[in-house]
Amino acid sequence: MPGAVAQDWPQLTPEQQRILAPLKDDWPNIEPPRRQKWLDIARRYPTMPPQKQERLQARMRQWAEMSPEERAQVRERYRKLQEMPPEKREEIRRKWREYESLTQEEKDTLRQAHPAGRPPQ
Amino acid sequence: MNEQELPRKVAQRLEEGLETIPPAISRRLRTAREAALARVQGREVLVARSANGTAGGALAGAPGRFLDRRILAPALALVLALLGVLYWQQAQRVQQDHADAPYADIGDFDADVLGDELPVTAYLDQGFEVWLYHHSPASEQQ
Repeated sequence: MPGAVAQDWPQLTPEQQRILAPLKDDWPNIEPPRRQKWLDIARRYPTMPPQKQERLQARMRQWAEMSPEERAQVRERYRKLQEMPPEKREEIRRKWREYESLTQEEKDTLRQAHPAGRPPQ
Repeated sequence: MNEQELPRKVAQRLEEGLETIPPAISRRLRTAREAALARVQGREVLVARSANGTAGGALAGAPGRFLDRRILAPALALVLALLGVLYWQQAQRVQQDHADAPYADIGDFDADVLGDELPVTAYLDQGFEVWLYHHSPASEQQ
């Protein structure tokens, strides 16, 4: 219910705790309005297809491991991505699928070649 | 002047008539007058009791005003109650807006980020950034 008081972790139901488990350690630092949004997601969770549930769990784990600065960076980049035309967004997703198919060694080589700290050639 | 003379003439005729009223009619008039006075006095007592003997004295001769007070008091209470409910609803709405507004889009936004096909790690992966901007079809054509 919008505007309802978002509880502390021990006050959540066992079902809510199971779904939001990746966020357990971070829960005390999450602002009450954000907690409420997560509880809304937990409420919708049982109606999601298994594949989407699995993906959401994995993303929550990744999200929980990020620092506030990293989350802010992700939000900003996601916002920019949404402003791009659909074909550009699809191209980026396609490139991501290609990147994922690379070996770990190839990925490391690319990371080492990141132009951070020097101007792009 | 007709306007001044007419009341005087009426009064004069009534004075003359008084002297010639038959005793039987005079008695009936007195009885009716006493009965009317008795009714008025009875109402005064009732009003005085209703007003708890305080402001009743001022209202004793004004039953219309007494009636107004009986209607006005509950009406005023009803209006105040309605105003109270409206104020409470407005306060609740403002409080909820304050609770939701600053974070609503952020909360939904986080859920969107996590639900997207592109994982959150992709946005921070420097290797992907290199792959994206240095292995794009455009860069390969150069």
